[in-house]
Amino acid sequence: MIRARVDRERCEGYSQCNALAPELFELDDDGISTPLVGDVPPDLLDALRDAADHCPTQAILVLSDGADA
Amino acid sequence: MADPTTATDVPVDSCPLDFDHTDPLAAQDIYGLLSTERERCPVLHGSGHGGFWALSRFADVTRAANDHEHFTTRQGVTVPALGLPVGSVPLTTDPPEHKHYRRALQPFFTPTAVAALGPAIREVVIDRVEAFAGRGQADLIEEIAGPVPCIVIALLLGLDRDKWTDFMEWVDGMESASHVGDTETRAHYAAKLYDFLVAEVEQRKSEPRDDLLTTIAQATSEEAEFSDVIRYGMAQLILVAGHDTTVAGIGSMLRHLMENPDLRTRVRSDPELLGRAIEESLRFESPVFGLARTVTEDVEVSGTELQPGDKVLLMYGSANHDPRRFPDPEVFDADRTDRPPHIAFGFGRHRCIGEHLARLEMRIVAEELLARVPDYRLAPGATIEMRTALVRGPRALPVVWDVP
Repeated sequence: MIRARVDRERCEGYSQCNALAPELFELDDDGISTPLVGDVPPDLLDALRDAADHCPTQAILVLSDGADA
Repeated sequence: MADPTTATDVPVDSCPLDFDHTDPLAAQDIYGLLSTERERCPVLHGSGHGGFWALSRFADVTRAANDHEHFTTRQGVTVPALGLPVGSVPLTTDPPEHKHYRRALQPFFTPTAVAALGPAIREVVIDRVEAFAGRGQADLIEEIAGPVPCIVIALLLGLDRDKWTDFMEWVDGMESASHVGDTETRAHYAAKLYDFLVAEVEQRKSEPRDDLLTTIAQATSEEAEFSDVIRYGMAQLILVAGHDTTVAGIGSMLRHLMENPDLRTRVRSDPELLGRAIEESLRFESPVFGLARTVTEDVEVSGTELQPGDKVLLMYGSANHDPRRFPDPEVFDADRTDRPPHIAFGFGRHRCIGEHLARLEMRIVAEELLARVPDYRLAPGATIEMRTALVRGPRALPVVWDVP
């Protein structure tokens, strides 16, 4: 399974992930992102990749099963 | 040296065009031109405006936008130079200091903060639309796409909103003068803008209010210097980048809704489809055609060697029409759900801070206009002329509709 993680030190609140994959990322009041789900459903994998590619600070990590969370 | 007869990739031969995105004739069909050039010549060259390169492919544009080692924004981001009085902060700063300036502005531009402006924006839009809805004809740029973004920016910054025609005059004046190389006129408007920014920022230092200008006037950081010039630059960026671009964004959206009447009918009852129509309009006719960087170290882009000091235009509009990224890029189709995200707002750390505000303004204008004027069409005999160069959008949108 694939999981998403946000590096909160790198996240600067550009909110691209929330715009591109609202099912996967929510923003707190400062605009800092948090993943909403554990295992990412297959139909949202493209959205996850878009969010990771478009993150201006490359704060989104895409982890495969077994990788350290 | 290789045998010359085996040399098959001579860039000079494949790039005969002297590219100029400000040439009004070329710009009327710039995506037709680029669909050919993008294939044979990914890095175009122009001899005008002091000489510049122009990146046409999605992969090259996004790579350069993320590569702050080789491509800086410090020496300006437009070709030709707009002649703004101070650097636009944070846009014309690089990492690592960039993030401290951006962080000061960010709280005003989060999706939540922007959504809170919705009711005030809607009130402005309804006012404007109701003023002309009974008339049966209007230039939608003059009546709504032009005024709304200026009023909203004035609202956000905390400026006197009755002065919005002044901002438009100064910024339009600078842009028009820069296209024809008229530095005297450009400086005239730049001076007016500068005096205005200084007066507003200085006033907020002594008389703080609950507005973005006060934040700009008073922000501090232990990690970055907030000099007066930095503060004026921040105010300038919001004022200049926030209005003209959105005028074009709204204008092109209204044009595409006009040219696709079936879509226009359906978006009235389908907010999600309206969202896709907004995104497709931003992709298809990106308001900011491109922003520039200056090369800091030798770097190669798609076979072209770039040298320190070279100006490079990252053509977001061209990237958004690159078939390597967007299937059938020359077709406007809001129904497609498989379009990858466009980069009309740029890419990487300098991505537009006001994108959520721009989208919200576009949405509210569409909703309130279509609720009162559902069936507008191009005025008989009229044609649509595009504004060219830095900001692309219809110059005017003269339309008519049936009044009951």
